[in-house]
Amino acid sequence: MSEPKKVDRRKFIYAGLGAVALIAIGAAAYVAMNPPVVTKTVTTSTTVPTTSVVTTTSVATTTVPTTSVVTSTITTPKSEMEKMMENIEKYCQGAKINWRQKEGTSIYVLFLSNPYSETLRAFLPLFEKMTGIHVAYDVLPATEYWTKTDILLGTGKGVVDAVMNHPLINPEWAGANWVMPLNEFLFNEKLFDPNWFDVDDVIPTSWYACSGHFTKLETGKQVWVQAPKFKNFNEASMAWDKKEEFLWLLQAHFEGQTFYYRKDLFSKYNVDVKTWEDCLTAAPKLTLDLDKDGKIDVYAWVARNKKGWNNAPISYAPMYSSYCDKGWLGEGWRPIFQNIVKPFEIFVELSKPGRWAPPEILNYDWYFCSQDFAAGKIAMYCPDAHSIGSTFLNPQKSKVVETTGFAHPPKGPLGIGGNMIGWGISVCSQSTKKEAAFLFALWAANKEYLKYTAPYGNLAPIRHSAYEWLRQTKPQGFPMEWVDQMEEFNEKYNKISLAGPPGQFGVLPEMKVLYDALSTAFQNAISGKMTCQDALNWCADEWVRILKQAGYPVS
Amino acid sequence: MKIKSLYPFFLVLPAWGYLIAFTVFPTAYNWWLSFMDWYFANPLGPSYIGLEGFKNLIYDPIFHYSLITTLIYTFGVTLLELIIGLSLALLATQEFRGRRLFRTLLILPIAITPVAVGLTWKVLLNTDGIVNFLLKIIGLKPISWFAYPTTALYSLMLVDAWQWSPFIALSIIAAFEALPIPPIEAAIIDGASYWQQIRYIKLPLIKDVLTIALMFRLCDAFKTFDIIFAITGGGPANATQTLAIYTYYNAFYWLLMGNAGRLCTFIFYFSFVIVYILARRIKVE
Repeated sequence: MSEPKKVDRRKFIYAGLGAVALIAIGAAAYVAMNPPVVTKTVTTSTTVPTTSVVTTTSVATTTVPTTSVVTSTITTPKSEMEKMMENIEKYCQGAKINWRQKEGTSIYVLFLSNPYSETLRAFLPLFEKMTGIHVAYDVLPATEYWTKTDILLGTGKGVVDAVMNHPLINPEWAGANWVMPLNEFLFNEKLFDPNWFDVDDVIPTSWYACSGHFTKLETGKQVWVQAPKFKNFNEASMAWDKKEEFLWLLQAHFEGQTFYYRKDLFSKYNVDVKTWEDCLTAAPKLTLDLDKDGKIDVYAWVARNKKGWNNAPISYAPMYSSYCDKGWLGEGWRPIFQNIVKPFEIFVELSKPGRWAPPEILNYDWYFCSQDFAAGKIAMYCPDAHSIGSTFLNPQKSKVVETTGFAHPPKGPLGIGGNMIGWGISVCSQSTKKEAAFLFALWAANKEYLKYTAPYGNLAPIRHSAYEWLRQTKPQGFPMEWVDQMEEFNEKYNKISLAGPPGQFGVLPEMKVLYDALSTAFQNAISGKMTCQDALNWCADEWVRILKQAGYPVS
Repeated sequence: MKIKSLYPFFLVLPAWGYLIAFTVFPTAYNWWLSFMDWYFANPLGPSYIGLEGFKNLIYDPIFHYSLITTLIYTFGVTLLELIIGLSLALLATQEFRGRRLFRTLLILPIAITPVAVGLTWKVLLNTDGIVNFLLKIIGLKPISWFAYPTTALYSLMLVDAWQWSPFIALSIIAAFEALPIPPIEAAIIDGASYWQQIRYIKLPLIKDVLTIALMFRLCDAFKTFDIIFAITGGGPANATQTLAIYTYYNAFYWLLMGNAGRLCTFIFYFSFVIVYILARRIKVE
């Protein structure tokens, strides 16, 4: 019978120290071989006019997949900031509105984190000074934002007074009576001055994208109906009389798709991308092992592919709409997308992990995609929101400031496809301070303020005057080709508008669960679990099951 | 009735109040919810559909897939944690200097918030992360831990095992320390080897403690949410979508409260059956 073996304390400590040293050496070597791009901060600090600079620092709160990190910083000289504040105040005083009519009120505003909402933070003290309304302002990353707003609005207690909204979500919120039509404010002279607001200055299609959807209750069942296409603001607001055509949000900026690419790599490797198939042809040329160490340094392609309704389906929409102009659903609520296999195959082939796309692409949302592109690790970024472009233009965030190219999405057989979401501010139905909340929304969408936000990240303002101002002033570092491109996109390529014909996503409250199934279909095909056709068929069956369960008359 | 006879009743009243508010009412409410069709954003509110919802659940392929994933994950991590935990416990009961430090270090993973554990391991096990870097140094090929459906679930099981194996280890250590000395001494005199002592004397004597520890881990693993959500969110391709994650998506992403209620009911009764079987075993023996 043997005695239990004794381990000497010294040996144990030495072994422990050895292990720690090994890990430390490994970590040091790893960091040395993968130097971080910039430092990471997770704070938001704003100092308004009393100090010499205004600094807004914001960071995506997601975990960074590699060593690259993105930080956004806006630094404006005090004098410039004061001048902007002065101009905004002067412009607002020109309205036939008593801005101080709700003085002493406190409102709670919940916004999603993006360049527009981060810029707004810096200007809030001016709003508070002008109106005497105190604003408790929370900005949350996308995933937390949608969950938290659903829960807070669902309590029905009026916890939140104003939220950021868009037409994909509006059917859910408007149908639940969580947000209210703004029409009653727009007809109230004390709260709204149409001449001052300059309704004709707003780009018409953005009214359309923001006005959107309404619900009817027919025989006890909630029916979601296509919204009418408003030609302009007046038409939208006058619809209030009809009691079924509402304006749900005041627009702040819109979101369409831009194809981001590396100009230097395209030129060096003689690549020209006009169509989606060109992307496939270019992929081998743009997947690069620059230092010949056997590890890919630049991947050709990246696209949102993480599980979730707001990932792959959103990235895929411009590609799909350039191959099919009939939407996702056909007659009798039957899915038709499974018959359009070609674009799906291209998207899947480009997104193969570790081949043309980063190995972790199945866990990438837009934060990860933009971080990798900003770190110079990607040659083509599947068309994504305009606002993301501001990341690539900021030298403190990006290694590709000089080399980023911006273009419309590549063409398919039907030309260029794209969709547009108009982001705006909604007033919550249960709020007890609705008028103060509306004053906030009105102020945050005013003409003078919106034009200043463009150089600070709000790259797609919804007003003509903002683009004119950009053309005239040519802010340093702002890509002027962007200005024409944005307006052109807005007018021409809004093919699969999310407020589209009946049967399109925008009008279905089940949008999230349907899109989620589509995102799973992409993951199944990209990971090789299913062929493209099988994945699409599986998804179509899922849609039929979901729609039937939800009570739609699927034939 | 005399006040005095009511005295015990008043004493247990707070405990009853707590139980009713936080256990009985939510369970009853969830039962009620299970028979409803309720899209949270529907202004018309919930509508009664009886067993139709459960029928839909039975025909839901994603539910089947999530259930299988949950079972693989639950039994996989419990087995893994039992093996690692037992090994750690055997090591920790050896006579060596620094044993106390070793035992203290064992507690650390349990003390860390699961979300923090998830995010830390997400970075460590990234394809370009430090673990793959170390693997490369020793000549092994890097592994895409969370990037593929084929590896993601097993990688998550390793993370869970890292955090919770010490719990099993500590339970076994405590049980070993409380063992009566005479049977072990008798075994030593009879010439039993170290492994024979473990196999035939110690493990049978701590079986009840081990069963309780496993019961805790089975129930916990069955409803694991935070680690999985922080690392993969249920992807890729639903490969890590356990029932808890699927319930969360139903409730807070898609706002399908009726579905979420039915899934909760299922999880509740499934856990109940596991606990009942294990608890009965303890009682009998």
